[in-house]
Amino acid sequence: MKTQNKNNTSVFILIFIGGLLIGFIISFSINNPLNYFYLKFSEIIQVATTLVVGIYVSYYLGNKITNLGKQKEIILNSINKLENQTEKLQTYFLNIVYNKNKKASSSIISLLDNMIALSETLLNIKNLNNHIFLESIEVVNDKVSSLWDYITGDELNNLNYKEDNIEKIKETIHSLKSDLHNCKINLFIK
Amino acid sequence: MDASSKIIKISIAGDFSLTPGARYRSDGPKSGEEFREDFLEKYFKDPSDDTIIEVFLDDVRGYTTSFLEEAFGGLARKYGKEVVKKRIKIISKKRLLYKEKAEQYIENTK
Repeated sequence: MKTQNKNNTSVFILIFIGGLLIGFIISFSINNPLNYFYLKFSEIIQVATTLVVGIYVSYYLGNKITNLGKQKEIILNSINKLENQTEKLQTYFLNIVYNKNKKASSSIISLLDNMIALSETLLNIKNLNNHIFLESIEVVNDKVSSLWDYITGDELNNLNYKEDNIEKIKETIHSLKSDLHNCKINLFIK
Repeated sequence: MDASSKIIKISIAGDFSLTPGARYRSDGPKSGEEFREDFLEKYFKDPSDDTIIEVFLDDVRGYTTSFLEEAFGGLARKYGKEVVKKRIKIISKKRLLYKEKAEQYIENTK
């Protein structure tokens, strides 16, 4: 988290200094290349305007980059949480299937509820402008919904899943894990 | 919806349970069957009753598909899909999936 903030601040400062330098160079070289100290009123206004615009643009870009960095950090955090919950889901599910663990069967409902909440939150991200990432989130959301569908039917209450459903659930959990990994990669594609 | 229709609001978390159970009463407490029979069916017994029932799904600790299917699909099987669609309004602001599924269970009733 600290490293990410530092990076964002550095980018902001770089853009800020760059804006100032470019403003000075353009104003002086175009209008009065030989005399740096005696400026006309119009030249002073031009330098000041360039400076103000430079500062505004660098502030705007710096802010935008910092916000985007923060947003990506929050998204990454949510994907990591979903990954952990998928691991837990797998453990609970196997516990129900092979150990007939009743306690795990009630925990799995709230675990899936958390997973649905997280994937629906990710699905509502609109301003990231990264279609590949948004498509991979849709895939994750579909798989989380399917898992809820496959797991929480009547078989959960009886602690007795049919063999083909067990295989389907195992496969979906497995592919969800790799989809979440892809999401993390796609998040940083520009 | 008729302007004169009465509106009843039912929150599953507030009025029924934070932890809804499975399908039938025989499966354990707070089942879909229990919710349907004790909270919803009383508004459907009189055919002239046009009460609108708003069911709020949010704030529970999760649903099973069997609970939602028995509560809403079961209601549609008993009183007819069109009647249920006209009078039941399912509301969820936090989990779109549950609302979509409950509506789908009503729609898929034959």
